[in-house]
Amino acid sequence: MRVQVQLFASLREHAGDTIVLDVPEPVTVGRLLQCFAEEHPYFKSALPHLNVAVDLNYARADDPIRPGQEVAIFPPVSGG
Amino acid sequence: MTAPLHELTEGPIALNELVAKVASPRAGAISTFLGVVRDNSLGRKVRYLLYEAYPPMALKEMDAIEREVRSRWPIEKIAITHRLGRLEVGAASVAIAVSSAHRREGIEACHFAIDRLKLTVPVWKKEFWEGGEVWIENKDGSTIQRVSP
Repeated sequence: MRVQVQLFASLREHAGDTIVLDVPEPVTVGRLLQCFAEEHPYFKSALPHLNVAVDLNYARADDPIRPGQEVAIFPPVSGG
Repeated sequence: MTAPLHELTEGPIALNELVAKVASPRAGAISTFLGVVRDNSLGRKVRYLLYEAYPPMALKEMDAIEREVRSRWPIEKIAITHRLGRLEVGAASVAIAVSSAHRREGIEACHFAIDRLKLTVPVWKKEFWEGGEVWIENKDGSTIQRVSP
């Protein structure tokens, strides 16, 4: 399934605001991240620290991603 | 139309506006916090910071912080504003105001809110220092929400 992903901070700087990943079914957050690391090996070492949000909620590796959901990948936050 | 309690702003933060937002006749205390840009970071001389956010999720997480605060302390109101864009040394990056009947719950709620914001709200800062630039990553934050691969 093609998943549109918003990127932020260092990810955005390197790969762009939005990317499209072709993720094998069944599409889960974990598989999305694996896909992202394969497409952008620059971030392979960052993988354990990356966050994924689905429909504005923090998601876990096992969580499914369904068509039409809003997906984002971002590094550890540093607000404040 | 009144301003929303939690906001992201591109312009300077006016703490008095947050105080006005949380003012209440039932409040005997208004507690505030201001995060300000320092001139040094890990031995680096900071020139300026650049903040970016994932806006809809940042606002949602601020709402979640309000709910968590209310579940722990009897406060009247809480307002959170985070500034985005380029911030010079000395500029306020984040402000929190809490009104409460008595001071103890207000101070504690304010403390909790900034600690929680730094862990969960999707905002990132990039530091521009004398020798280069680097995205700051609060690795402690990701342990709460981290997706285990």
